[in-house]
Formats: sequence, C-alpha cells, structure tokens
Amino acid sequence: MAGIKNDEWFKQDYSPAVPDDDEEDTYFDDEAFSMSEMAYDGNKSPESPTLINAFQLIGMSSYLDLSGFFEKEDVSERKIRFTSNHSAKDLVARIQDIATEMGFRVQMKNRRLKATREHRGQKCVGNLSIAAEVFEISPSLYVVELRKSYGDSTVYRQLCTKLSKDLGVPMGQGQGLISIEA
Amino acid sequence: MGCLQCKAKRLCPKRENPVKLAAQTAFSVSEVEALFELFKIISSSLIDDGLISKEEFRLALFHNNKKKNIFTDRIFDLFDANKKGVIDFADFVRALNVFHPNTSQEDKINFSFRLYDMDGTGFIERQEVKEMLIALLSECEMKLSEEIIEAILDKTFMDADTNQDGKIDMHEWKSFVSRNPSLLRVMTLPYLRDITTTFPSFVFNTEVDEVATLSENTRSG
Repeated sequence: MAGIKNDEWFKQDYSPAVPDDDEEDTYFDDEAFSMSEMAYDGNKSPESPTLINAFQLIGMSSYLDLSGFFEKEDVSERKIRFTSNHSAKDLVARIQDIATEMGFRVQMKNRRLKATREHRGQKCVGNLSIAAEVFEISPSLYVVELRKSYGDSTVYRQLCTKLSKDLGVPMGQGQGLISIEA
Repeated sequence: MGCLQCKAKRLCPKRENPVKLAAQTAFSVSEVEALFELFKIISSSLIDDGLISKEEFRLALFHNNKKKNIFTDRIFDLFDANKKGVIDFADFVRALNVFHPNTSQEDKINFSFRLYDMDGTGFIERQEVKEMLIALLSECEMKLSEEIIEAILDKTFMDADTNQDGKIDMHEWKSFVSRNPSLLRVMTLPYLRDITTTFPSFVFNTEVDEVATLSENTRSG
C-alpha cells in the first residue's frame, strides 16, 4: 500500500480526504452554550471551563470511538486525556504557547482550543490539526482531552511529548498521558 | 458487483441490494459498495462467513480483540438489530448510517440514549451512569475519590433528571442533549461523509485481488 501511495501515478490529483472536524462546531450552538453558562454561575467568564458532567467524561472513552474502522493506527495515536492540578487558565495558556512555538495557528473557540499547522505548497507531511478541551472536575483537578483532527502522526506525538514535559505529566503512567494498552 | 467476483472457495457474503440500502440511508449506492468492501474485510477476519461476530467487531476497532469492555459490547448489541448475535451487512450499513454527519439529530439522540441505557430498561439509571463512569476512569487509569465521583453524578442528575426520580428518561435526555450539544459528538463519524474518496484503497485492492485471481484461474484452467 505504501508503495502504491508513493508512486507518482497515485499522487497525481490525490489529496487525502480530511475528515472535516469543523462541523463539530455546529454542535456548539452558541446560544445554548451561553444559556447553560448563565444557568449555574453568571459570574463565570465564557472562556472558563464548565464543571464536567458524567456524560462528557464517559464520552471520552476510546471504546465509544468507531474511527478504528477507518484508521490503521491505534486510537492512542489520535487522542489523549490527562488530568492536571494546574488551573484551567494555566493549562490553556501552556497548550497555546507550546503549539504556537511549534508553528501552529491557535484559535480559541468557546471552551475549545484548535491548533493547525499547514505548510502550503509542500506535501502534507508535517501538517497537523488538533483540538483540545479543558474540563473541571473539582477546583483543583482538571481533565484535558486532546484529539488529532487530521494530519501527521509524528508531529502529533512530538506535540504530546512537549506537553507532557511542560505540564509535568508523566507519559504512560496512571494520571498521565494515557495510551490504550494493546 | 455480484457473486462472480468472489473467489471460488469463499462463500459470498449474503448482502442486501445496495440500491435498497442506499435508498434507506444517507449513503449513495457507491458508498454502500465501499462499505461492503470494509464489511468483507471485517467479517472475514476470524471466520470467513460473511457475518461480523463480536470478536471480529472488537478486532476491527481496536486491532486486537483481547479487550472486553461494556461500551463496545453495547454498541455491538445496537448494531445487531435482530439480536442474532452477529452483524450482517444490512445491520452494518443501517447502524453506521446513524453516525453519518447528515443523519438527523433525533436519530443520534435515540441511538445515544439506547447506548447509555445499558440494560435496556428505557431509563438511564444513576447506577448505570456510575458504572460507565467507573469504566472510563479505569480505562484512563484515572483515580478519583468516591466523593468526587458522587459529586459528578450529583451534578449530572441535577442537570439532566428534571423530575428528580433518580433516572433519566428519553424526554429528559433529549432536553439535556439540546442544552449540551457536544454530548452528541460521539455519534458522528466525519469519515462517512465521503467514504469512497476517503478509502480509494478499498476499491483499488478489490481490483488487484480480482486481477490476481483471474490470472491464477487462467493459468491453472
């Protein structure tokens, strides 16, 4: 397969279909979002994470993710979740900093952070788009979910490694960056 | 596509007319055919019988079938519409259709409700949510105190269980999801939007197989 993909014939007019993550933003109905924010604390700024509900946590399970039908790589190569004692503001700022350092363009949207790196005019190698979201479990405990929307797995791993170093989250251990045991 | 294209030794997986399936779903006829290629691979991975077993389902998703978990098992049960214990091609297409980006919110809400209503009582009970939460925490190797777990459950049921009877019914779920639309994110697979372009390899591989088979047969014939 790799041989075929490298062949010039295949590369002609071929651009890998990019699963369009953007329509997920339509689920963030801005009106509904601001209404729910006001419901429990009018003082909370729109940028602050919301208190997590059980289904948001449950929804992070890789076992609810059917993308394995369509992807060869392990789901841990596409998604990580980790907890942290850093404040939400801190977490978001650090993710933003690291991504910017690595040449990503960062957008904040509601409670989510989207970072994209695209090299125009070059082959797709090195391109990556990720989405991250911070949730509050308790005032001193937050959970971050970071997902690859599309792109280069190597760059994705580099980003995760940098994040784990910076946030002091050990990789592959409990409470750290989690990869699913194969 | 027809039985002539299957290798002589292999049973041709029984499948419904792709035109009929396309008419009933958000998929086009060629998308149904692309899904058939995927189905063939999954359904033949352990036993080549044209049906997806629970083990083959797990294998396809997680590339190993060692990990049992309540979520995959429940999703399998929902795919297996007629409770046969296996998934046929029509089941496969109809269930994946729910995850199509163009499928109605209502269908996704219904599916997600049935998903989380693990024991099929028609209600999502607090104990069920606790069980799912604990499963997630174990998967992530996240340790949360019993106190925090209860606090999360309290908050969830305060938000969702409007009549405060300790369980979430379909009506409450619909309302809860409309206030928290991101909860439906698990119910959409962007890959399905343009599956024939996303997976040219499936179509390509089939042709390669057929050419190989054809020349083999010619030689030995």
